[in-house]
Amino acid sequence: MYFSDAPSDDEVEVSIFGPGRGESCLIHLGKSEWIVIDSCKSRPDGHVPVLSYLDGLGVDIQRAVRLVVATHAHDDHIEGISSIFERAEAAFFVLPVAMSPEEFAALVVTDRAASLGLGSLRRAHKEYAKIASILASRPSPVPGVKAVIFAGQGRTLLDSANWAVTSLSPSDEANQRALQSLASRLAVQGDRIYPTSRDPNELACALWIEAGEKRLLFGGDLLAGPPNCGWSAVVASFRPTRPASIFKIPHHGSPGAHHEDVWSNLVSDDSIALLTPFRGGRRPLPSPTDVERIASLASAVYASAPTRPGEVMDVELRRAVSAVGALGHNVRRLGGPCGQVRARSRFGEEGWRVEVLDPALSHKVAS
Amino acid sequence: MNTGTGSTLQSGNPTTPGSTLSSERPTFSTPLTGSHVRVRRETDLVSHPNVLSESTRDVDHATEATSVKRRLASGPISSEPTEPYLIDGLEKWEGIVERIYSKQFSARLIRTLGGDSEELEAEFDSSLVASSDRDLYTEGAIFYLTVRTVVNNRGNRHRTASVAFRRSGRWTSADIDKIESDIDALTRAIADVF
Repeated sequence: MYFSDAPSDDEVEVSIFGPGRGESCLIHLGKSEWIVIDSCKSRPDGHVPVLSYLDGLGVDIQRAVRLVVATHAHDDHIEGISSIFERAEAAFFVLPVAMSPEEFAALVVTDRAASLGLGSLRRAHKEYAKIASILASRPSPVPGVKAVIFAGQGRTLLDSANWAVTSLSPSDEANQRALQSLASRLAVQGDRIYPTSRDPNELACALWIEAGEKRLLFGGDLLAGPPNCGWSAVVASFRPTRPASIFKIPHHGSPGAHHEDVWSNLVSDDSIALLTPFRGGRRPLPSPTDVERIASLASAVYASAPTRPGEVMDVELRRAVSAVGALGHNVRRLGGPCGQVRARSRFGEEGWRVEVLDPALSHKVAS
Repeated sequence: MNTGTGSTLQSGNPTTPGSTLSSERPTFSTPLTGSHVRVRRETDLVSHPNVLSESTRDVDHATEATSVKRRLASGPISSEPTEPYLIDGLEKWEGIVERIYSKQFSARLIRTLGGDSEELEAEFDSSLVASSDRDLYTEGAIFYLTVRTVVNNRGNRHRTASVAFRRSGRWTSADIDKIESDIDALTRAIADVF
């Protein structure tokens, strides 16, 4: 289903997975140490690609995964993340918002109460609820150290002798906005019960990873602004000594996440851009124009799946289209099978070897 | 109580001889009749405990699914047909508003009756949102899409579709007490690792 050969101890690997809606990034930092950024599920069977891939490689997930990062609580980024964290017993969990245990508990409990009796579509924070239950049931991976780490601007989340993971966002202002948003979601007697809202994109966590001489940039869904938030805040405060050679493009390549200074200050001229599409909404991302823009800035561009797949009209879909189409337009499935883009490079080696697994594809290959 | 008014549309089945409506894209028809409200009351009750306590009838989907081919004494459930009819098919989706545009909204849907529960996505015209549901129309709002196939005594088949937004209850003091108690318990459970 996915690639099946494990990386060597001196090899850095970046894999992205995506079914067309949702994404997950997996990084091997060397010596069988892995981190996971976000999670998604493959359709129609609903498996979690990171787990299937690591199982296929024979990786001991319980010990080898050191960090599980939720860049923000959108379903296309955290679907299934609790199942990864459940198996990754040696991992710390990274939350994008710095909140107290009471605030986190309030978020989870209110979301659950507001969603009682609703189907599987609801529950903006159901993955957080499962994470809370896992946290409550096991000790921290390192005695005396909290198992939950908060992302924030310029914060080192975890490091070792040969690697370090640093969050570049959210900024203090974005964090403040998130806490205000959280306060507005709390239940008040007599108020109508509304579903809890999702995290704003300015809250998304972007990550800078150093492994040996390799530099990697993961954009999450971070947008360019607003002022004092997003990439504007990142480029104003962060200037690496060496640019990133791999850039996981933020927010599915949307124009709103593009910031020229990111390309000039944080990313190398011969970088490899990794894209994950988002097929939701009226304008799926990335558009052909978005891909052109990114291809003009990177030496190679790969995507985990096509933006607009050729949908197979099987009997079930035809029937659903016939019925829902009485009122709706453009009826489609939510996602499809997961593709994989995998880039590997040994310590000291120039460049990356990139492979793609259907339905992943290359938009531009390095010359 | 989940008796939100909604919007209803009906269309003929172009493949059925004697179909009375056009096979063109169906048109949206308002206002609703009282019978629409009655139908919606049956189909869109919410299982939130606050709401159930006020509801007149809970829905047993399995029971309803097996009894849809029942002959009803009199119509209409919509302006057509006006004669005795059979409900020959019933499909239901639960939807969540994902994004609101100027004249449309996109939504995720999961079928709750009448077929696979695979998730779908679609766009809907915002004009489908009844004026009485406007206060509920927000990103994250839940709605119910019901599609019925109806056969009148002359064998003509009609398809009717309706959208109704979930009208949830209000937080009660008992809700708040339970939430606060749950927050305290969860906070204690995770305090050591958080």
